[in-house]
Amino acid sequence: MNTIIFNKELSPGYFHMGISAPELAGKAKPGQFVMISVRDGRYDPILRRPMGIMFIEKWGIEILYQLVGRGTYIISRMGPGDPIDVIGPFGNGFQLRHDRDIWIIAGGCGLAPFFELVKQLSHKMEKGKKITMFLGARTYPDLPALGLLERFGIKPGIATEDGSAGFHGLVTELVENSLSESHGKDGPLLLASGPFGMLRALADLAVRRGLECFVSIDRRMACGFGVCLGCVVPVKQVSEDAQESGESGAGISYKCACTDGPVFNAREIVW
Amino acid sequence: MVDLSVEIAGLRFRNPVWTASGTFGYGLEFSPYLDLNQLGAIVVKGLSLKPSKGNPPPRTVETPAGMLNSIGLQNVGVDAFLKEKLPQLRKFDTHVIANFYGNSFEEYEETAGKLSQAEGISALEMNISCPNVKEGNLPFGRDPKVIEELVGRVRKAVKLPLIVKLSPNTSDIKSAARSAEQGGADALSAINTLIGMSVDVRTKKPRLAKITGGLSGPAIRPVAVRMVWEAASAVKIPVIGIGGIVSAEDALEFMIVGAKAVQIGTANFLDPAASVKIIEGLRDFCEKEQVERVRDLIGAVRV
Repeated sequence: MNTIIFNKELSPGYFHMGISAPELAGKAKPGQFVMISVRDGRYDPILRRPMGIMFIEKWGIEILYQLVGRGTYIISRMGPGDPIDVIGPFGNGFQLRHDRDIWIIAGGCGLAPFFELVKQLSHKMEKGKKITMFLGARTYPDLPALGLLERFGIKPGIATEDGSAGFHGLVTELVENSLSESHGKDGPLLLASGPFGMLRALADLAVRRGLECFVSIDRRMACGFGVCLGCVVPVKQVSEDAQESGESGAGISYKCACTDGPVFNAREIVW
Repeated sequence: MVDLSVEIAGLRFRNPVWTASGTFGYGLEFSPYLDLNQLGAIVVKGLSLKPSKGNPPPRTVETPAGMLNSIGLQNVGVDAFLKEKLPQLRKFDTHVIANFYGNSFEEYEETAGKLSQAEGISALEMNISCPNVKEGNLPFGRDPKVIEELVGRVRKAVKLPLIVKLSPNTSDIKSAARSAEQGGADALSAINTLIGMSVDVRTKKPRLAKITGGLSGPAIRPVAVRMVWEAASAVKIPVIGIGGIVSAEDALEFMIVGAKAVQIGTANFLDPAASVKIIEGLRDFCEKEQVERVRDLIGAVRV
């Protein structure tokens, strides 16, 4: 059992939680996730919730989450000193590249895993290589924790669907506009996390513009460590070792978002 | 010292707590969380003759005190299991029980035959809930006559103890239990998941890609206890109880209505160390209640 250090509401519906978990933190990498029990002593809701790791500290981890249902409601009511059951870290995480321009594209709470990535990368980038960030949301209040980015000297490009801040439109459009001004084939490495539609649009953009793109896939999970096989992502089948069952389509096989991901090469996924 | 051991089909188990097929992978995934040597047995993910890639997502949905799944029996196939997984599992001092299924009588026989020749498998558990592709896709487990024939054919193909896992999706589990016994099963396990469905009221779409799925978790426990009680009263062979067990008391409920052992399923997702905690809980219960042998509680129900 772990202990909550803090649990703050950053903006309506968005929470920032610190959890004492030194052992787990010692093993964690940017882009990995944990499974948090939201059981409240009963069995409804029953399943753990996957949460991306926002920051890794010596004493534990921080997470950023949105209040979306009963599970997140239960943990949103918890406070400092309360016990919380966290297991992990799980998943592959992002590869850290110091030798390339990196463009980070995040939608809403999809921003969470990039804080630690930026923390670990920003001081180590090779000369002339830069981290650029683009954040998208429906409306400005859905962009929590922006202030926390300032300490890394990053001013993200912002897109809102209602035009309440930054570019009026989709973040993927903002990314494409920014690309057309400056980049040819030797473009940046795209790292993205957010809603499925956003990731799909970005994967499409990456293919059109010949860019490398890695996406973190958010899926419902029952276990988080590769046994329930519930969180699968359809990927292009490379070998013929899986049975062609006809109905589920030839050329597709399934990988677990929890153990094979959550970070996938966008070209591998069957969108 | 409490004696937790039980004997089933000529095998001695150090305790009656097994892990249920499909919720414990091939066992090795859990070694960071618990000592596999403490388990009564590991029942591995259902194996088929050829690898199976399973169903399209979404495959799971959370429901009140439970979950629906339509994984589609995704597995590495019997050959890969024997070559890659079993040698690692053999290192543990725990009974390995291989769960398997087929889409035809022949597939059942062939898969069972391959498994029974391998070293390090203590028993086989046969899943009869899958559709019979040749006979109009009706599940094998629905028709008592089909159960008897299928179990009889597999029985002839293998020497290992044969456990038949019964489906609850039948109106008469007693007939199914008797048919499996007639066919030559050494033991029965019950229950598999109950077919359920969940719909998103806004999109009006089912929450699972395959529309329906198997319900598991504490929500099904009373149904499972009733069915295990019925099955255990209908046959002479041992019954292993499965269905929503998350605590030692839940496990005892099944044993008291006649189960000789239990399997832990969905609880493994909630807490990867659940099965070991349940074993500890059984020991504590027996000590407090001054029960010397846990097997003395089997069938102790007062009706």
